[in-house]
Amino acid sequence: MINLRVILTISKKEFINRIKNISLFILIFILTLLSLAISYFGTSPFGLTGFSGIDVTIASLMSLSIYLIPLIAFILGYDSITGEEEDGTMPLLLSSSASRSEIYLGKFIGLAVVISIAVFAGYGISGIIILLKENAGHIIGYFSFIFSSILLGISFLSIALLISSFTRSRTASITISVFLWFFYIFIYDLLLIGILVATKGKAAFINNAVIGGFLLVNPADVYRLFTISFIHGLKGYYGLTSILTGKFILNRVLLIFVYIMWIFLPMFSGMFIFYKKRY
Amino acid sequence: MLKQELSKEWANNGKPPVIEFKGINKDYKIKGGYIFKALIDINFSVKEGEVLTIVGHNGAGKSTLIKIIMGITKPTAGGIEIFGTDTAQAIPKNIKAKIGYIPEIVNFYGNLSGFEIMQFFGNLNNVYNEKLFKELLDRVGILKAANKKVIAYSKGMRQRLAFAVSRIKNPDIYLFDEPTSGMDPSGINEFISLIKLINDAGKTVIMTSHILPEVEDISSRVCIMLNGKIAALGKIPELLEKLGLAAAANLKFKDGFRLEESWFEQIKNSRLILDYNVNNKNLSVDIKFLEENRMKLINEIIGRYTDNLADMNIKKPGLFEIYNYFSIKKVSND
Repeated sequence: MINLRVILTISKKEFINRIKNISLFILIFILTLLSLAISYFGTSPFGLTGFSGIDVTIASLMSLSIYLIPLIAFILGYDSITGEEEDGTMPLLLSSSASRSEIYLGKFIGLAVVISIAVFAGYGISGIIILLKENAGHIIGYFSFIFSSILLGISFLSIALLISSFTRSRTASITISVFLWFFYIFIYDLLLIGILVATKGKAAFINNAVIGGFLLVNPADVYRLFTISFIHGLKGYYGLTSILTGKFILNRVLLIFVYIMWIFLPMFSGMFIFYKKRY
Repeated sequence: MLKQELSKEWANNGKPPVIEFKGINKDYKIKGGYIFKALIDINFSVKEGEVLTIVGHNGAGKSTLIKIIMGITKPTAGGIEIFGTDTAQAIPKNIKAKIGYIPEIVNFYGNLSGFEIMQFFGNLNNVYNEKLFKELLDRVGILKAANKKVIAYSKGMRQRLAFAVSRIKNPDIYLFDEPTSGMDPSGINEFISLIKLINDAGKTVIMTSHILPEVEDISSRVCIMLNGKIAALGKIPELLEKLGLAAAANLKFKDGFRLEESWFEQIKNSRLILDYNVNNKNLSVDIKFLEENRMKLINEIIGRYTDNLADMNIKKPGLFEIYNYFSIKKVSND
């Protein structure tokens, strides 16, 4: 039986620990600064400068999210379990009446709250400025984007905790985290594009469903697809993603399901590994 | 040679066992594909209300045994029952709630104060009584430092805080892994008093220690571990008798007295003493004897040397001698 008060206690401790971390504030500051800068200058590739409408601004901010938010999530979560093991606080924590599932869930929720606040604070300030210049009716679109960005953070946080649950040291944990960040953000899409270019898109096995399926394996791409599917004006700004406008890819139910899976699958896997982990 | 099976009988004090080890083995895979056997066929039980002290060299398996009880590590083979529940694969919450634990290395979240640590662990154990937290901190002598960040605590203060934390859930069993390491002598004495206190309240204590003389008086039984095996287990007097460990005495004579070796040879032959060593330069004699002959020997010495004896020191054998007996054996085996 899960004890919610125990989970809340651990979440609170995790939250307080992380918000005392100066590096998190620096990252939020960078996120805010860049979001403001990108909102203004980020539309240059589309031949525009200044605040050029909510859709194009969100399209630019999405690129920032894809680089920065997974990084913040990995920084927050990579040592959540291994850190306690290395610092020697884990044995006392395990000796308490809290179960391992409660400990894991508490950590996850605490960190999820931190990343939600970080994303909200990072985009909220620029959002206010942007919306002052925009129609208030766009506020829903902008909040949908923030919500999607928070989900992106939580999904990568879930992966970070999974890494932390099966590694034995901070070094191993950060190494795998950096590799995954690099792979998902820089390599994965390049590989897909590489395949398309190499086969000139004519290979029998390459079709929208296959490419779409591959995109769902990367949470950063799921974020892109998810956000685009909810903000229609964005479709025109994305290359590979905008090609895949078939029913399969932009089926919202599927995207919501996959996005949720990207949060819960790593989370439950990590919880199971931590439950089985012995020292 | 002593076997743990014999010790089972000695442990039989009529109280129910709270912990039973049933053929516990623990292997660790180490680099190069080698296997380190941390525990080998551990079989014994711990009775309610006893203080069991586990002693052994570094790597003997003491901490591994404690971790297995606490569910932090899992045995490779064998079973363990706590309050009749099999906990070898996983320790249920209701059993964890009955165990207080101080790990070998005590570390807390440095950014929290001592009182916040108590609140945190209190909440995890469903205890929200702040008055109790203060009382427990006071009992270990760190109430004045309760609002200080734990990062500023000395090692001894952290041990005391860990003791207070272990008492929050008022457990039936206490597991202390090297609880006095890093403590100053007065801290050790206070800690021993605290253990007496909880034991007097009927709690079971299992602890590992290197500080042998201090724990000797409070230990109901001792368990000597060597290379992952139990070398001996039982009450100290029983182990001394089984091992035939001798007491030692040093007799110092007045200046000008002429020592006669023949008398010592005579009492050695009559088995009143085991051995002797005469030092004519210091006018002293070192003798070894069995505890059972103590009073008879004292009477003989006093009767013979009343006028010439300047001083007499008798050293009773104890846990240190028992441990030494086995550690010498380990060195010779190595």
